[in-house]
Parts: sequence; structure tokens; C-alpha cells
Amino acid sequence: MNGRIVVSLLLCATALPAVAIDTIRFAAREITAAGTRFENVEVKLVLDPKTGLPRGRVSAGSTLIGPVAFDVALSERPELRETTLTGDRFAIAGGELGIEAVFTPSRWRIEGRAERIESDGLLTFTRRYINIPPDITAAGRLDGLVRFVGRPGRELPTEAYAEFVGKGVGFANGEGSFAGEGIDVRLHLRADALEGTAYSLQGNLRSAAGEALFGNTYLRLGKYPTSMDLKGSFDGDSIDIEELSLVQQGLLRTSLAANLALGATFIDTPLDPNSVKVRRANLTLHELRFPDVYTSYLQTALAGTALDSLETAGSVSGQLRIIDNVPQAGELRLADLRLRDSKGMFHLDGLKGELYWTAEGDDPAAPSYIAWESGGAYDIGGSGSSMRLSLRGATAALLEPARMPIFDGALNIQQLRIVDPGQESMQIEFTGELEPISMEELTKAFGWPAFGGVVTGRIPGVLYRDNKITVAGDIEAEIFDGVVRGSNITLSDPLGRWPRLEADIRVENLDLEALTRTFEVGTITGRLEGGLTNLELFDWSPVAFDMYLGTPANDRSDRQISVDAINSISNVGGTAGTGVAAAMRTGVLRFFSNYRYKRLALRCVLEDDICSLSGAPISPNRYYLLEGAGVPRVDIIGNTGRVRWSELLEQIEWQIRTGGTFVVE
Amino acid sequence: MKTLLRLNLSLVTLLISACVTINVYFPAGAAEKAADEIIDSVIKGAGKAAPRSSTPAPRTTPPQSSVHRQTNTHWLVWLAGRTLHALVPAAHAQGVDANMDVSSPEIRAITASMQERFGQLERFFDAGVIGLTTSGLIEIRDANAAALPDRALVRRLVAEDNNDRNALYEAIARANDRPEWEADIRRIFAQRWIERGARPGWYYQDGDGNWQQR
Repeated sequence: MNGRIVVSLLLCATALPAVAIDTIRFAAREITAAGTRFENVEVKLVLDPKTGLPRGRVSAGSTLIGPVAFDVALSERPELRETTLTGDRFAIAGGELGIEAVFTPSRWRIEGRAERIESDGLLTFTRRYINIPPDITAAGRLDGLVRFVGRPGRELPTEAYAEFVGKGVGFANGEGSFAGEGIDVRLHLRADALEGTAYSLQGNLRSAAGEALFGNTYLRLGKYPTSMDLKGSFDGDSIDIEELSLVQQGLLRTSLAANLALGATFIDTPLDPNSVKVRRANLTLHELRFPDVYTSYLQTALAGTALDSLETAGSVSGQLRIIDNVPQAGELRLADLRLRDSKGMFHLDGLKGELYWTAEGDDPAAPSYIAWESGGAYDIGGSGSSMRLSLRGATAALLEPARMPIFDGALNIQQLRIVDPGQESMQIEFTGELEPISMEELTKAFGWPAFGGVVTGRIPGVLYRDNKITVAGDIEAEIFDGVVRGSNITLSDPLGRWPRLEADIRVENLDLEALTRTFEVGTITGRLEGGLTNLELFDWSPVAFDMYLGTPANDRSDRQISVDAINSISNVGGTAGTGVAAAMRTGVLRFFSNYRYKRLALRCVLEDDICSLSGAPISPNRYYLLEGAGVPRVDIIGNTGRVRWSELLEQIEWQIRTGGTFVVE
Repeated sequence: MKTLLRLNLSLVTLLISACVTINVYFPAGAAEKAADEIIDSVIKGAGKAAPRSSTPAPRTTPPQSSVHRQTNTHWLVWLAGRTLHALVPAAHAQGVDANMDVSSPEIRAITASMQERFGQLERFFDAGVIGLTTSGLIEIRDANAAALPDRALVRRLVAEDNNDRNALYEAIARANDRPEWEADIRRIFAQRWIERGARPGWYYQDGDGNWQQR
């Protein structure tokens, strides 16, 4: 049965007042009107003896908004052939609802006005049309108006209109990851019949108060007033979105044009949002403004990575094209972006770029480029540079060699390929070389005493895979007239909170005089070789190594050591400490400021913050740190096997800073 | 006869070395002690600087071994095997008393980071927002128990803390030169966090993954 029968019966009752009908009772187990089902409907009308017009009661055991029962009165304006049925406001969903229906031979209009109804009631109503997960609840009250306009003989209305205004409403899912609180919202939605079963759609939503959480996204609507505007059309199981714009003031402006296949008309069965197919969509990011987009949308998702505490600025715009649910092409324009790690790990300033991407199998996109004005990692500074890239499928590749200036040198990148960027399976391949970078700049950046020399290196292959960077090839520093070479370099968890660097470092033919002059630990002449094998830095601090530094076996240089240097070495070796210098300034020795030596040997095996010291062995517990030569001869013999590394460092630092002496116990 | 015995003995030694499989037992008792030490310092030292560990723990050489007897061996070998078997429980007991090294700079750095974060996490444990899992991590149990602006913060803290926890288990296994112990260390920490770290009212996951309250 459908709604029109009810109407015509009512018309009979009023159009023939002369007939002695004093009561009309209409009952139906089920009525479907405007796509909505009502159960156990009963309309009972009596003629008001005073006005001569019918009044009575309408009740329905089950409607979308629960059982309803209200008094109605009929009025009519015969000259317009218009009959109006006015319902008393009745309590529903915690608020009140008043219904008015107007009928003429050519048109009908049913209107409901709700006041302060529970928003959860509206949610129940919406569930009739859209599958909303059962754990989602709503809170707060709404005022609303719903109006349907139609023509006799046409089952579906010609016009549908809804507006809701809510203050302080909220919503939440079961686990609390999707929630809103204290939201002020105003929603308008209007559908007008077009040809056949099609409707045009128009709507908007405004909200300027409250807060909302969508997974990793936390939005303060008060800070970023949000509005959505919709223009489109709807026919059966297909929605055509001409434009759906989303503007969050101070945060972003986006718009979407799309054609969606719904899978089923939601009038018959509730629409399952998961079954909606995007036939085609074009998403335009007019503007994403930093730092707000970073703090609202990205920061929580990046927690636990190296990108989770950035200071950002600038803006991004772009576009994404989707066909049949699959992204096909996209572009991104970076405008004066600034990314600065607040822990000082890296920075990029004045980042600009145009990135063009296409899906695998699609035509290659136009070449992409990024450029920046300055960048760096830790205290290593770099000036501006740029890269040309191709982006296709899950692969980004450098199109032509790029040069990244670092101080007075540069890193020349010959090849760079990134597969699955941002994924756990991310893999990076890289080859390049270092143009000499002067040590003077580097030492200044690291806060070391300044010294000369250069760092160079050929890097035939760098591979990032399984969260680990493996460097094939050596990085060399030409310093103090010798060479320091790093090889077997790996870096685990480079983008995480706990990076670990492993390497072997080889030291060859350093000029000790230049070295000791730089570090002001007395003067030693001669040459030095050795290295650090199995060096391990955890969070950039050394935690393990096997260090040996000593005089080369066939050294022919002039080897002399000053009293100050003897004092420094004996302190490290744990010999008499402050007493050494004093002793050497008495007796015959006071006439000598330099002594000749045969060899120098220092070994420190660091593990668990303990440095096990040794040198050139004499007996199991004794070793030379310095084996003297000639007359008078001074030997430095070590006897302390174990020194706490962190304390040793503190003391050396103090010694260098103050020029004083230190004691190792 | 003497020569024969000597020959026999050397044969036995050879055979024993040929058929003995050494299995290194995980020193659960030492791991529990180590876990307790770290958990205490995370919870009690929250907000303070990481305490510098006292004397460095002596490197524990894992002395525990077991003997798997191969069939078809000489009776003397078998006897020697039995004897070794009888000795094994003692060796194992020694392993339980052995120390697990938790003094490495890595472990101290990670512990200090967890300590600092614990000051922020504590109230979310108290409110039942987060709980302890059987894999030695933490998880959001009921975000609804946190105020809305706090929920994004909780997510961030949980991700960061789990990052530290994973790094900690790896670092302890590494400090003891036993990377293969990582899973066992994780399991022990999960247990000790629930039994020792959790305060009354805190939530933890039982073996079936259901939330229980202390």
C-alpha cells in the first residue's frame, strides 16, 4: 500500500461534509511513502462539532524515528483546493517534532520541524540509508527541518530538503579513535528532481567550534573553521560530484570532482560506504598550509620516526587523479617549504619543487624537480642545490647527476633510486663521490680545535634496505699530512630514534707534531698509524671499538716528546699522575724539555663504557705507552687496565679546556 | 692394560667432543633481575636523570651446556655422557645466578628516554587508557578514557615508547652477545612489567589477548 491512498481517503472525508460521516478510521499494517516505511499506522478522525472540520489522532507503531503519536487537525481553503493537516508537536527522540502536510490536486508537501532532538536519533534515521558502523554513537541535540514536496501520481518527491543545526554535538566510535566533542554544526542538503529518477544535489556544512579526532588527525575546528560545499547530481546508484570543496581556514583548501558508483540505490537497502566505487575522481589540493597541516594531520602518524618533531613552514598544492579506485597520476608543488628537525638532526630551507607522478604502466610523467636554498644534517651545512627526478609507480629515480655543496666541497650524486618510499620495504640505492671538503669547516662545525686537511671519498655504492644503510667504498680524510680512512660503514635505523653506526677506521702516517699542536697536549714529533676497528656509535656516541695508535714499524722520522706530552700520556696510562711532571722538573731532568723515544703505543678496547688500556707489552700487567730511547731515557709504563670511558672523556675534555692535569684512578 | 685404558680414554674424549651438542640456556633468572632493575629505574626514576650504573657487571660467559647422547655409542662414552648429564643441572643453576649485562651505554640511553616519557605515560596507565601487552609493549586499550586532545598525544607516546622498548630488548641481547635471546628477553620484560611494574588498577593483556586489571 502506499501513501496516496491515505491522502485520497482524507480528501473524501473533507470534500463531502454533507454526508453524515462523523468518524473515519484508517489503519494499515505497512505504508511506504517517499521511500520510507511506516508500520502499524492508524489515523482516526472525528468531525469537530464546533468547526465542522475533522480532527483526530495519527499514530504509527514504527517509523524511522521510533513510534509516533500525535493529534492532528485538518483545515482547508476550498478556493485553492488546499487541505492542510497540522500535527501537534509531540515528544520524540528527547525533543519535539511538529508535522504539517499540505495537499492540493497538483502538489503535496510534508514538513517536519524538530527541536532539540537527540543527535543519536538522527544517526538512527541515517542508518536507514547508509551503513554506519554499529559502534558509532552521537551525543548532543539538534534542531532540524525536513521537507518533502511531490506530485500526485509520482511516487518519489520532486524536492527534498533538510537542514540541521547543532550546538555542542559529539560523536565517537567504540575504541575512541574517531571522535568529536563540543561541535557546532550547520548542515543544509537539498535535492531537486531532474529527468526520470535523477536529482540534482546541493549542500553545505559549516562548523566553527569543537574538536575532532580521526585516527591520527586531530582537528581544532575553532582554530580552523571548516566548511564543505557540495554540488552534484544523483541517479539511482550513481552520484556525480561536480564539486565538493573542503576549506579549513588557515589549514587547507581542497576540492573534489568525482563520479561514484554506489553499488545499490540506498532507498532499497542501506548504502555500504565500503562498496562505493570511485569511477573517476580528481582531487585538487589548492593549498596545504604548514605548519598547521603538519601538526594537525601528519605529526601523530609520524611518531617514533625522525620526522616526528619538525618545525615546518611554507605550503604545498597538488592534484591526484583516480580511475576505478586506483590512483593514476598526481602532482605536487612545494612552495618555500621549510623543514627543521627540532632536535637539530637535519634542516632544509627554501624547498621548492614540482613533482609529477604516474602509475606503473601509465605514460611516464613529466620530469620532476626539487630545489632548496640551504640544507644540512647535524652541524654540517650545505648551500642550495637541486635534483631532477622521475617518479613512476613505486620508484623515484635521479634523472641526471646532482651536486650538493657541503661547506667548500660537495657530495656529487651520480645515481639515486628509491623504491617504495615511505614504506617498510623502502630501498635506496646510491652512488656518488665527495669533492674535497676542508677539515677546517668540519672541525668548526663539530666544535673541535681547528685543523687543516680535507675529506674526500668515492662512494661506489650505498644501499638502504631493511632499515639499514650499507656503504660500499671508503671515505677518506687527508689530515695532518696523513690519511684517515673509514670503511665497512653501515648505519642502522638511520631515520629512527636510535641510529647505530658501525665502521672500521684506519689511520696512516699522521704527523704527530701537527696533531699535538692542534690539541695542545704537549709536543710530540714523529708519525702515527693505527685505527679503530669495529667502531660502533649508538645515537652518535661511541659505545665500542678496538683502538690502536702507535709508531709505525719502519718509522724513520725524528721522534721526540715534550714533558707536557709525557704528562698527558702518563695520565691516560694511569701512572703517577700529577707527580710525573713535578718529578721531571727536578734534578738533572729539569735541563731537558724534550726526550727522544723509540715508539709510542696506545690501545683502548672499549666495551660497556670500559676502556681496557694497553700498549706495547712488557709483562702480563705492564706495558709501554712510550718506550724511550737514548740518554736520559724516559719510559712511560702503563699499569691501569680499565678506565671508565665516560669519565676519561670528561677528564680529557677538561684537560684540553683548562690545560690542567687529570688523574685516572 | 694401562696403555689400553689410556687409549680408551683418549678415544672417549674424542667421541665426546664429536657427539656433544652444546645448547646455551637462556638465563631466565638473571633476565628477570635485569628487567626489574630497568623497570624500577623507568618507573621510580621518572623525571630524573638516568642513574649511572654502579660497577660494570662482569661479562657473563654462558657456561651452560647440555649433552645429547647419540645412540650406538661406546659404553664408556655413554657413561661419560651420563656423568656430564648429572653435572648439567648444576651448570644450569649457575646460569640462573649469572648476571645479565644491562650496563651498556645503549641500554642506559634507552632507559633514560623511557624514564623521561614515563612521566607523561603514567596518568594514561592510571586511567586505563593504555595497558601492557604480552609482547613487552604498550597499547591503547580505551582511548575514550582520555580527553580528546590527549588522544593524539597518547598515540604518539605509545608509538615512541614501543620504539624504545623494541630497541631496548635488542640492545640487551646485543650487550650479552646473544642476539637470539631477544624474544626471551621481551617475554621476561612483558611478565615483569605486569608483575612488578603494573600498579593496582593498571591494565594488562592475558595470554589470550584479553585485558585484565591489576
